[in-house]
Amino acid sequence: MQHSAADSALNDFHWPRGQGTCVPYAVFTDQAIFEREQARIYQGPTWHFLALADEIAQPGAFKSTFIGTTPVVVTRTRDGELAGWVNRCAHRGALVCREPRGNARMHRCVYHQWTYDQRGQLRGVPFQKGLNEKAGMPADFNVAEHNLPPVRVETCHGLVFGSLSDATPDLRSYIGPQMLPWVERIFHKPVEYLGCTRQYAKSNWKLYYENVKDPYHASLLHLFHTTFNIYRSNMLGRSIADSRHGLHSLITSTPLDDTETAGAYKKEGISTYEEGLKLADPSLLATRPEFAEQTSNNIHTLFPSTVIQQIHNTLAVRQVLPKSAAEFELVFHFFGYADDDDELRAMRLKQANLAGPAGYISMEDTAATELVQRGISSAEHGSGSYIAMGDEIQDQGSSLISEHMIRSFWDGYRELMGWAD
Amino acid sequence: MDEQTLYFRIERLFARYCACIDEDELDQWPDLFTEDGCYQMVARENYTHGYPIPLVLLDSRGMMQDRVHSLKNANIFAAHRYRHAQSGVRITARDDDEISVSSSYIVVQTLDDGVTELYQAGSYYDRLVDNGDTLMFRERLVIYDTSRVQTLLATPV
Repeated sequence: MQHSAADSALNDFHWPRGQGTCVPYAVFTDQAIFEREQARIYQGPTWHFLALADEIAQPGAFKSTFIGTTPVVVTRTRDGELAGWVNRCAHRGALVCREPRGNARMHRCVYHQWTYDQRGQLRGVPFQKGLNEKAGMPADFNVAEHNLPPVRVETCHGLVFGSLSDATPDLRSYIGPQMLPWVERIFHKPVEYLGCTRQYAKSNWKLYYENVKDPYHASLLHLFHTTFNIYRSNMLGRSIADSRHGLHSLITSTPLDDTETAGAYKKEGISTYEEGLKLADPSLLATRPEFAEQTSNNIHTLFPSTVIQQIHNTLAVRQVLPKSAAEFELVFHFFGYADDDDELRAMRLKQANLAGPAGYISMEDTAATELVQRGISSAEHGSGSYIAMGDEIQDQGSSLISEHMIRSFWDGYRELMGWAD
Repeated sequence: MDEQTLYFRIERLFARYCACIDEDELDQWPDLFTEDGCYQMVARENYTHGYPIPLVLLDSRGMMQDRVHSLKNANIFAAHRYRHAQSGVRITARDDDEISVSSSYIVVQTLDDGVTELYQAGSYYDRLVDNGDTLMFRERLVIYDTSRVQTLLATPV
């Protein structure tokens, strides 16, 4: 790992201590910190969602995507295995694969037609022996020494992950015993990819990661359910941070009965409560139970770039792709189960109205992160946020009015960034 | 009906559609659709590969009214205004029951800071029916090229 002067200066980065957690705003705006994250986190010992196995089911099928800012390709080889490589020609660094997805036996860089196989191994260099006994590569040139940098690829129940580091433990260990059952709950049978939607935010990727670890905002920022009198207060909630490092997390809510709680919100004086609004066409809310515990919400983060979502019958894996200190892309990979009947499949498509870039209960999230980014972009040196809601010991992970998962996240982040106590 | 008259009536419907959205008359937007009409937005990258997931799928006039009510009463987003530019209107099929029309659109968005940006480009694939007085949408399928939605999509395109 190379260390720039700016990165070395960050070794002494000051993280304030006090009640709750103060997150210095510089972590959302500073370019040197962004680069340190790319080196220590994204190119470091972490696993990143790349695709659903169903997206690249056929031999030769490939998908180009990113691990952090590094362009990578994941592909199904002709013998049915998965392979990954950094999408950067060994010759002059051009993108080799220029399509988002497709099917190819070989991958050829268009610049000088250096050609790689499905595993990223260099198979051909035009004019390697020169032309008419002139020019040509040096006599000791060996194609086998110029393969594309490999990306480690592992799968877990139909999810394909990639890692750029040899130090990353195997995928199941990385997900860990506390979180793996929740992955298995959603991916308990073969899934079918239904397509993706993309959203681009002018904000730091960690503001989004805070958002998906923050059940406190859910009923305050997203007012669709309360406005249409379809919110239910009697919920069993879970808010769990991975006890090993705090970086992965799970939020679930499970309705216990049909009690409406618009009244409770009215009592609290939440300004946007509107009395009497009803959906003209409630077919949007037609759902079908499909899990032993029918959670209405399951938001499961696998640090640093993966969020598994189940909201009623909409299933998706959200991929968080940092682009700069102040920009990230969010890609929702929607899926159903391979054995869905027509009615259930239609429900999943209709419920896509709820979650996604235009979703009734999700559209505000990226906008909220942008409001923070705009608010802090000129913040004075050393200032930061104040995150203190909820107590994980007292509520034992059952309260949804809590920010304890965000605090745990920052503990784990500090460790990875070399800023632990 | 001769083709010239039909084109005139289609253009009149499209102008009404753009006015509903661009001139802040969104309440009237669902009325341009039949009772069982369908408004759907699908990214071109999904459409091309046959993946069915929509960005927005409103398969009744009631669902469209709900979208409008939600935007006005529930959802939080920056104040914005669209301007549509629509071109290349083609009648691609026609029978006694309905008329199929395709066209291209560009939508620019202006926020409160006074900056106008290109927000989305794409195609409309429409199925229109004649109710006697006017044409109505039985289906408007919006295939958007700009797969990367900037921040969020609140107002229909």
